[in-house]
Amino acid sequence: MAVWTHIAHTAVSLPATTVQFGTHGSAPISQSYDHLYLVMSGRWSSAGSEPHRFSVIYNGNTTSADYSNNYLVATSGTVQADRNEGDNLVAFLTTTDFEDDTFAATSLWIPYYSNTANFKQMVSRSACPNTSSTDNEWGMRMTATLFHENTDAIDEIRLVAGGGANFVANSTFDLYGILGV
Amino acid sequence: MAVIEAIASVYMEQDCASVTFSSLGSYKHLQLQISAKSARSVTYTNDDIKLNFNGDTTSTYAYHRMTGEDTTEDADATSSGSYIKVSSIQSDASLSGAANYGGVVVDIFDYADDGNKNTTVMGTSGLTAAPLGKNRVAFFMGMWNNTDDVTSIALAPANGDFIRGSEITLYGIND
Repeated sequence: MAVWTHIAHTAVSLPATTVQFGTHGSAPISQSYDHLYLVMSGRWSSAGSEPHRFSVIYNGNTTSADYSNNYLVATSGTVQADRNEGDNLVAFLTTTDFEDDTFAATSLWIPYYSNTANFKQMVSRSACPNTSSTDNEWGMRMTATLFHENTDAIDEIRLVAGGGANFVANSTFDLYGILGV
Repeated sequence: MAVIEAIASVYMEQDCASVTFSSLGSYKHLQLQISAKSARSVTYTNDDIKLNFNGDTTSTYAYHRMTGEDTTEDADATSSGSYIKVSSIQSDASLSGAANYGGVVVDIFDYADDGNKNTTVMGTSGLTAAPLGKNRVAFFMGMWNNTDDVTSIALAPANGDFIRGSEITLYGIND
């Protein structure tokens, strides 16, 4: 069996508030892999001079208290680290104030997502470039997001644009499964 | 078809000014894996790689990065440059050790999306001197402010040549 398997591709043809892989319980993401890797290229449909942050929801759980994160971020010449309890914001999207046709690039790893013994950690990197060097008009962020409601396997991943707006058309999302030997 | 395929690999048998990949195939995303060192002078222990697409060296690129250099963190941004700064590789064998090359991974997203998007790049790198001296870890990103599909990729050290033994492999990632 191949080490990498492409599980699903979503290209947003119309603005979409949410992109979802699997449905918790009824149509789950295959549990046949060791790890999940999600690659996305996304832009937010609303205005904002700063990068917009989108969120992740696992297994349909929208209780923010079940998530926490720690991140390293730069949106200026100062690199910052911070942590938040009850926060499922994971990565950046460019906004309509950013350079036209420019989409943020994000990769997300969910190691051992089908494990049922441990909480699930996601590690993401996100790049939100712009033709600007002005503080906060660009951004890059590395985030560790912990889902600690329970130790259930992850069988649904929902990415939510948030802020009452959408992922714009041509945003793309690819989910891969990785299986070791 | 495999999800990840090696498109081309270059091992430099001698010092080399630049490397160009011009047959990129049809994939969703591309990834460069780099082990490299440049001939930058003895004052410095690291260098950057200039990344250009489709032979375009006009001021159509922007790049941003955060770095940790020994115990100091920093970030910087360039809004209009003639290349994307791929940060960083090893330099100067006399300071970093003859067998010491910097490691870099660069992801190039949606490089052939039929003109819908500017091309976005994201990567990480690490180089550690041995014995422990000047070190750097970097997280960088860049964009080519052009919606053309990428048909060629050129890489060249910002200062001097790639040193013999440098190696760059280009991978394609399918969807």
